[in-house]
Amino acid sequence: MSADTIIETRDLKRHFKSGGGFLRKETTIHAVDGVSLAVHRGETFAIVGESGCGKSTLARLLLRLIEPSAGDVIYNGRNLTEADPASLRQLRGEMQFVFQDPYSSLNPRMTVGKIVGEPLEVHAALTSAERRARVADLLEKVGLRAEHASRYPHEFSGGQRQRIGIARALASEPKLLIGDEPVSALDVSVQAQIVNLVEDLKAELGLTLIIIAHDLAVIRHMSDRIAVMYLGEVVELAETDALYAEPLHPYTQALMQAIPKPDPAARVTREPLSGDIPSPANPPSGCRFHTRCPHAADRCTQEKPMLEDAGGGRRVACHYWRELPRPDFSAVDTSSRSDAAIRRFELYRQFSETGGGKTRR
Amino acid sequence: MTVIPETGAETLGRQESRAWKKLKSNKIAIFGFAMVMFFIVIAVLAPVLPIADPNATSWTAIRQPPSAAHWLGTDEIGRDIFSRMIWGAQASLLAGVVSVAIAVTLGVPFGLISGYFGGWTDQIIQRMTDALLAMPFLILAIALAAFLGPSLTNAMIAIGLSAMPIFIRLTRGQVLAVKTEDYVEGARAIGLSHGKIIRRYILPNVFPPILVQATLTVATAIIAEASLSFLGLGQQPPSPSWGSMLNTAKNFLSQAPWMALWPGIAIFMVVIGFNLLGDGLRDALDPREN
Repeated sequence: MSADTIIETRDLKRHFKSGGGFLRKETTIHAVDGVSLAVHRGETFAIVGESGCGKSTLARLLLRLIEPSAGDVIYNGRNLTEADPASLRQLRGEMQFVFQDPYSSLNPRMTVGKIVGEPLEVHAALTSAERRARVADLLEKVGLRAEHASRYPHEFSGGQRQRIGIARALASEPKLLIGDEPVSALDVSVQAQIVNLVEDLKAELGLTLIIIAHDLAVIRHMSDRIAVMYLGEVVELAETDALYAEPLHPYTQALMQAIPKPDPAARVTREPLSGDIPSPANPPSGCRFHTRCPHAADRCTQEKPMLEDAGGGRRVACHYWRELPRPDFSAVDTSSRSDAAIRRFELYRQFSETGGGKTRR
Repeated sequence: MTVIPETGAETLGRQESRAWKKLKSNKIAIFGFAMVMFFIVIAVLAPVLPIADPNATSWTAIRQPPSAAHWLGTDEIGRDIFSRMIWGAQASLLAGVVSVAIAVTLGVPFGLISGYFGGWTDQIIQRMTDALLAMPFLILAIALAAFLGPSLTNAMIAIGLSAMPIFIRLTRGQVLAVKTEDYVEGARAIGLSHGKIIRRYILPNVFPPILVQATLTVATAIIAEASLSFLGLGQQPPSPSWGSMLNTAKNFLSQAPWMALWPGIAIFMVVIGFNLLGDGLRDALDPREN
């Protein structure tokens, strides 16, 4: 483990059992199957993959919100899988979670002040006046107003609720923030606001971010490094720019080709992936991607590729990554944002800084 | 019977007053509250009201229809139904409210533990609930009351225990639904203990249907007390209860229908009253309702 690693997983596995019963065979879902990765302090680390690939399960395993079937999670040199309940509770102040759905992640029967102040009650010994002041501070930090503390979650819009969720996550002064698709349930314009907010807070508070997502545009914009998951396994891990410029794994290539290009001249030259993602209850033999891979050979059906070093900190799990054709991604490569998008982001930023934001009543 | 979620001293007062204000502005709920209060006041004042002795029999006034002398008529041994109704209110309200309170205070915690923790705890509690539910409500109540001995108190305990499994099941089902909400996982993520998660997150969100079920069970309990006292296991004769009056009256339905009418109406009104009040409380305690 290098000195600047904040959290690390070692061969982390989570299997769910289901369907077992009288005269029926129990099936095992391999939701996360042997994931090893390390997140550096201060970076934004993204985990991408299609739905069902185990990325949300992985996020919950990192915080031990669900118990791993095997493997270790090491946070700042401490093995979370061996931590006792009391020290785990304490450590949870340092690692916080932002949920995907802002409508189900806030207790409808608690006021916003109580929701945001609750982590303080657990992790900081404050008087109730100090706590109120801190809650007001946090609400303002995320672009809400202090007087919102006495309202209930249903009085807010989706974007505002996500801000409340972020304020709650920041209350215990975490060092690591894990977002499970934190913007995918929001409108596109609100997404931009929340993405900006999270980035500003990251810079201000020196956070490390782990973002789970399937939206490649958001990921491109936010992250420093990316892990691509397929069927419970990491198939490629690389710096963001390198991954978008030159994806090595055939699955990553297919993902990149699926990004729509806003250019009528750019006619489709891609070979779209055929078929559905196989069932994680019965994963394919050998390389798990061989059933959909345009380059699959005999070896892929039998021998499982290991995540191997591809130079420059990149890792890829494919037998043939050296020989595969490299599609041209220069069209995607040019800029992460159009000028119009940059202007729009700027506008949103000003808007949220001036304490804008409507209240639904 | 209202459970106000624990929210810390500084917001508790606020929330309480908000709920109370909302309840007060709900005319239907206030009507229900007034009905319930009316019967409670009558039950409490029974000994001081200037009414006839509820147990005095009269061979000259058997099964008389309502008249100036006997406002609600007389029963099969000439007792004044009006004063028996007033004295019976006490036994019936106690039987309804106390037994439901017993059922809720025992059943809800079992349901919470069973649903929240799952696993073996859940299995054990659920198999015991199955065993209790396998016996018909009334048979179970009769068996328990016979075991405990004949008295109104024991009848209430017996009815409460018999109604408990319904609350275990209902609570568990609600907990299973609420448990999967992100906010419960979020509560774990900030490091809250199981006890606090159950008190602040689970209980307030599972409570509304339990409240409604409780108001409905009040009616069942009043009727059950009647059946028990009919068998000599509830209110001991000659002391009246609405249920026992109704039970006797069914033998004289064609000759003296008023004997059944008054206790029937009273039970109906108490149940409606509790129901309206329960609905109002449920709405008042829900911050989403305006």
